[in-house]
Amino acid sequence: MTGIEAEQQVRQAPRRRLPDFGGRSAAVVSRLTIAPGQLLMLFIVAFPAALAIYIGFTEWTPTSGDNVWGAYHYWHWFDGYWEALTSGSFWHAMWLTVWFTGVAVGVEFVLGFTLALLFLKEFRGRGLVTLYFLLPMMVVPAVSGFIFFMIFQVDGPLNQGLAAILGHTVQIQWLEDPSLVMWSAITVDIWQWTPLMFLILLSGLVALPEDQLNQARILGAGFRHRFLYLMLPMLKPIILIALIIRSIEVFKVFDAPYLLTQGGPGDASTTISVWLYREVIINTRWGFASAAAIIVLIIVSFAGVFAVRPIEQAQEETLEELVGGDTEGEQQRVEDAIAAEASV
Amino acid sequence: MAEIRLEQLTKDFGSLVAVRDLQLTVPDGSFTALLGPSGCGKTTTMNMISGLERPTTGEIYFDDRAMSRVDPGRRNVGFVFQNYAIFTHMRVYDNLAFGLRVRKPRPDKAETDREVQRVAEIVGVAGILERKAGRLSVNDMQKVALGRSMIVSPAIFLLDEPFSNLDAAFRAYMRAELKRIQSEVGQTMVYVTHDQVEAMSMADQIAVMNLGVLQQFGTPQEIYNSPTNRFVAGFVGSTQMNFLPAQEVPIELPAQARNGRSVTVGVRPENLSLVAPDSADATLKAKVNLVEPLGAKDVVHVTIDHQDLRVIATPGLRPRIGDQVGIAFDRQRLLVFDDETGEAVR
Amino acid sequence: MATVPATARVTAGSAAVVRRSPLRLLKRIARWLAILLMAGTFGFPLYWTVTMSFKPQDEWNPPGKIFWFPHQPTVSNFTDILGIAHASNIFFSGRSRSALTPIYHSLIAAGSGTALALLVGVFAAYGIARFRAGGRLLPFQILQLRMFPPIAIIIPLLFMWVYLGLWDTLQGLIILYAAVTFPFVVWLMRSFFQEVPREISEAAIVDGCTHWGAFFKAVLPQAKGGLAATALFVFILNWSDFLIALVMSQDHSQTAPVYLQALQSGSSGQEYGKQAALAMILIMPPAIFGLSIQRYLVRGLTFGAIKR
Repeated sequence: MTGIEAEQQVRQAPRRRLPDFGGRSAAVVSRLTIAPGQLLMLFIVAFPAALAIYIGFTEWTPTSGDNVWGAYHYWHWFDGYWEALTSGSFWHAMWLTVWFTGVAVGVEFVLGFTLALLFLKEFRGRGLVTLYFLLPMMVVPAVSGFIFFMIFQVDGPLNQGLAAILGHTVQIQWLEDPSLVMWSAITVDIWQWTPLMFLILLSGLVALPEDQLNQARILGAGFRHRFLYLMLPMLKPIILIALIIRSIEVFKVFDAPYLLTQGGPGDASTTISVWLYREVIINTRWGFASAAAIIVLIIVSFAGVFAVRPIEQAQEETLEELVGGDTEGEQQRVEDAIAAEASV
Repeated sequence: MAEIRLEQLTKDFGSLVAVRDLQLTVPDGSFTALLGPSGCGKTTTMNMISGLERPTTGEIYFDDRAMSRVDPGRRNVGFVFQNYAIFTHMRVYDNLAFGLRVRKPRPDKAETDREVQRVAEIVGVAGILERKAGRLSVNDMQKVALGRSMIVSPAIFLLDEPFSNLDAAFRAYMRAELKRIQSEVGQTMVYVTHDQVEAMSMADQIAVMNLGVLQQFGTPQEIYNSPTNRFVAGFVGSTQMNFLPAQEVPIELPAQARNGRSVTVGVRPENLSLVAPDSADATLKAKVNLVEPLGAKDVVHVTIDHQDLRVIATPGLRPRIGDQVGIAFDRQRLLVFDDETGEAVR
Repeated sequence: MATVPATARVTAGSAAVVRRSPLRLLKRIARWLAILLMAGTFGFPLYWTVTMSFKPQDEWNPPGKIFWFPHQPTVSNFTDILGIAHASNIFFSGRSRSALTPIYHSLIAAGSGTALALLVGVFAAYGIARFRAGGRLLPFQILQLRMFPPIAIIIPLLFMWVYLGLWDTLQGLIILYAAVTFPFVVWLMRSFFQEVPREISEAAIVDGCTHWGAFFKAVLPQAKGGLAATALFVFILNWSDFLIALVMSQDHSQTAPVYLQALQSGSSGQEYGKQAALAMILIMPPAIFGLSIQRYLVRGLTFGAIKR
């Protein structure tokens, strides 16, 4: 007891005296630390956001003669928003993005999990092979786009390889066929980001408590049961985080479809990012693009409320670890441990 | 209900030999302790019996059935881990039912219910079946772990340090409880412990291990009264045995002990007694160093020529530190050990 | 009881060694085949690029034929793209410069952007980790920024940048890179700072340091491994950027990824070898940095939610 009290005094004493010793009070220091970041965010997010909302109510384009400040000459209230919401191409792009995200994240999850399970049991050179599988993740997206641009050519190595296996010439139009081009773009994302899934899930798998899995084995559980009853539930928080983080990133996808076909052929691979890029750079409809971008941001923000939750929880769990658990069982266990200690 | 026979069982991890040539037969329906200091190979032995590890060489038989290539799930053993390995994300009920649910054919819900209820009554967790297992106290975790293994009615029950995390009162209760369960069901129970009191007080037989090698296998009385070597003699006994070079003990030793070999005499503290220094019984004279009162008895530490001895004395005769005392030996209870091999000489 | 040494040496078994059952052996083989198959599939794109970068021109993309490996390996792709040797063909006609300038732009923009992001982000991370500066919600607001498609944010920035004269300048890219990677710095460094015991800064303050002194002399040295990992991680992110540079730069600040793409669309597949050489050069820094901080990659890419 006295030991704990003494420790508490040590912990509390400096905290009480912080304002006297720090020169500045903690509140001021706290505000100063985040001030530069807030300034940057104001400059890069808040101010442009205000500008975007303003432009979004106009039909202004840079070719119209007036500069940004004169955009009110082209004021048309919600017409831009209405046009975006009723435009087939906007929803087509949205749909392609959701489809891309679902398929890419799904396949990455399955492949990454499979690979992680294959790596679960120790084998010689496991560390090195793991590093090997991480390589695609390090590749600059512009480069992976270029690589798959080569591979997906009609006379490229993929078709040639298939030809060698099948024994006849293969002329699949990976990039030119509108029904295939999305799959090609998704392949790039899968190639590049399955390693991240693998890494996250492997780190979760190796951290699973071994005794519980052994216990299940002794009780007669085969791999299927251990996987369904133990591994999956125990990995749930990690799986959730992996899926959410990948979904967030894939939803923004631009590089793969743009680098392969600039979103084409036609609009067969215009994800929402590519679609916005086209409106801004090629069609230079900046007022309209701003309105559409704001719609996208609102949709993403709604999704974000749900997405941030599990990450927050995981962070708090680690915080709990640092502070010490406060759940009922934890408390009880600590008490039991103290009692056991005392009785020895 | 099965006999366990270990034949020349060896397990090495690379250059480290965890268990070496272990030859042991655990009788059907007995309660056996594997006793030894940490690192002695007892947990590895348990893992091999349960099937979590494969022996490098040698064979494990359950009633003449060779088991070393049988999956752990098909050996019909129960294993209670030291940390209980509770499935923390499940309810207590699901923990208990786990062994039934993964079984083929899977019993129906009513039967599962009945079995869980029955076992929950036996181990005393019937009231908390709906609680989340991760939030239980250590004591309840122990009960759940026991029940979870018990529900599949294993022929062999293995327990790894089952009591080391429990508080003292509950530990005593659980020991009694376990003995009761064992005598009722009649399973072969093997448990690992490093606590010799625990081994002595509960087991029918004790296997003492050190550095991967079986030192002695026998009843607690055999282990205590006639240890086969110096390690066993020193490890077992709540107050450690005294060892003295033979030339310092002016007692006639058995003839074979003096056969030109250098030997050590071992004598348990309770086989020594304090007498007056000039008494006829006083074999040795010594000075009192320290007195540890333990209630029913005192442990008196004395010194003879830089040689420390522990003597159990009745509290009535409590000497003071610095007193000269005489030490009397119970000559029937002397043990002699060969200095070279450490083996007991009989 | 017995701990397994990391480098377990398997001793030669005697006759009584337990044999493996055929099913188990089959499983082992299947597992290895699966790993090999995955390794081959995931490795091929890189293999193709590496070999391509060493192929002479007539092996790049000959109609109806394919070279699975360079028959006459050459390094001229590298020397050509870097402008070291004078290209024998008309490669640079109509293009005024080699890849050196874009690579230089990339280095400056990514490097300075990283430095700026760290400068701003590390303090914020410390404030949030120690004082809960900005309230409980601030870190999540910062995180939410990451969810927005950059192109949607870039639109107003584009005319802001044009108006301010920051468009197509390295300074403009640096500020944008810092802003985009700022959330990563905050979340990563916050998780590292949380691992530094509070007592360390308190002890320093009791010893007479100011808050800033305690931060620089006591806390930051404790988190310097984390700081290095964060720096490398953020550099990789900036180095990998394509979209921002595509929109925000033209000639004076064109970065290497954009240059690579320009070669691709401008030459319709006729410059594979040289592009592959540039691709190799582009891959190098992130590959080296990434593998050296691979312990922290997961933490970085999950915003510190997963620690290992």
